[in-house]
Amino acid sequence: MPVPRALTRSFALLSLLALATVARAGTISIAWDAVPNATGYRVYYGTASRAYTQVADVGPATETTIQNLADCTTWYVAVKAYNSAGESQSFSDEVSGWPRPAITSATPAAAKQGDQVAVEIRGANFQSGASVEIDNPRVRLDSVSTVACDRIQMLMTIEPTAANVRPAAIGKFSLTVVQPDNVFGTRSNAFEVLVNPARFDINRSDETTTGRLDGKDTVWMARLFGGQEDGPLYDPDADFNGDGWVDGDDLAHVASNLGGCWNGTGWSPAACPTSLR
Amino acid sequence: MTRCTVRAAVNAMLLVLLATSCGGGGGGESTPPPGGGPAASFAPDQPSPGANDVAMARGSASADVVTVDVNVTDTGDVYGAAFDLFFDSAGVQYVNWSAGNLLEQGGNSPVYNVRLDSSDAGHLLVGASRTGSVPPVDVSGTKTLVRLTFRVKQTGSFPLSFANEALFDGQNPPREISGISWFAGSVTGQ
Repeated sequence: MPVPRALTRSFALLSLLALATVARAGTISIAWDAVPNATGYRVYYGTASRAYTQVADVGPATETTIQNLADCTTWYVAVKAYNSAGESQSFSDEVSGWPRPAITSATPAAAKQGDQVAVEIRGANFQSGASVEIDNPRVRLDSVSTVACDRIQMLMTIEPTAANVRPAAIGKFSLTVVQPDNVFGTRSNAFEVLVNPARFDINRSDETTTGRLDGKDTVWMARLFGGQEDGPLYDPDADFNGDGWVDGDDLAHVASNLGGCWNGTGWSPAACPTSLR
Repeated sequence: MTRCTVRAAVNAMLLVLLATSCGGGGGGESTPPPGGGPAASFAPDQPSPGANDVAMARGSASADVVTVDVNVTDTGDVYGAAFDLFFDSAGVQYVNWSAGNLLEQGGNSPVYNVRLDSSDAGHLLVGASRTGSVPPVDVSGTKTLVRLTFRVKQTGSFPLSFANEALFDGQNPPREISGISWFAGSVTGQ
């Protein structure tokens, strides 16, 4: 009986299963080439090379995910094929690695456009040298440091940090921790980008009403209405929600705060000077 | 349906949603309210506006409610307008607004952003504008920018006054048009 060849850890399979959070919930996904005449495969694994302590019969499948592995531990895996004549004499090539990284939380879990914020990711199986990705191209990860196998600290910058810069889209986004060997774990909706209300005061036609949201801001927004990213009318400063359009969603921010003056955190009529009241 | 079409449709709905309320038009003399309260009327500060004037004029009136037209006369390059309106909320109550016929020219869908100051019932904020990269309007004669409806609460004369008023041209960004005179008027209860 030949042995399976080309045993690989599978990076993309069953990523949802990688979200398990308890200490012994680690998973490793593997795949291998089929062996002619094999009717099934057994996966051997343990925490020492070539000294396997556990075995799982996966039947005729040529891929599987081993579950309930101790976190932050190197696991060694090999496969044997079998049929009615018995099991292959030798193991496949051995693969090794930590279980797939799993993210349980990000703290803080939200920040607003324009912020630079330190974020701590909690979870399991974060190796030294792991990188982090967020599926928002306008959120920049300035530094990422694995401080423990259950903790990553990173510094995040959320655009826009200056005028005339395309803002980060608001909403909830996925975080992905990628190990040095490219095995990754993703958590959906792990981090939320919030709109920065300080951006709403777009009118600069006079100084009297700067600092208040009013009809003049409405006119300025209306003039930019319909602008699309990369188009001649697009003004990123008026694209409050960062979706690449200046549209009704953005204008609604001005409308819903009309008459308000900036109080440091939001727009309130009570914050307006007496000259505007 | 393409993304652009969907977006346009959504934006059209949002523009409608931004309109906080609408009122009807019409003309005629006011009729006394059934309860014997004050009958509303409006006395403009400038009954005969000329070129480059923004002036209020009386629209319809019925019982204790009067509609005031904010009109623009013989003015070029009008893209939008913004103003505050102050009045004595003890005598006058803002009711609602409705679109005029100025900003809609050429099939544009203008935006109207009209809101009462949440901390001052005598302070109305108004923004009205054409939208997007469209030419401004050359106003020939008199066109109505927006109509504002008020209810008079007691007898007397209650002035309306503009503040932070501006007409804007169609530049990007819009520039305030200079040389515009603004005239308001008084809501009266008789």
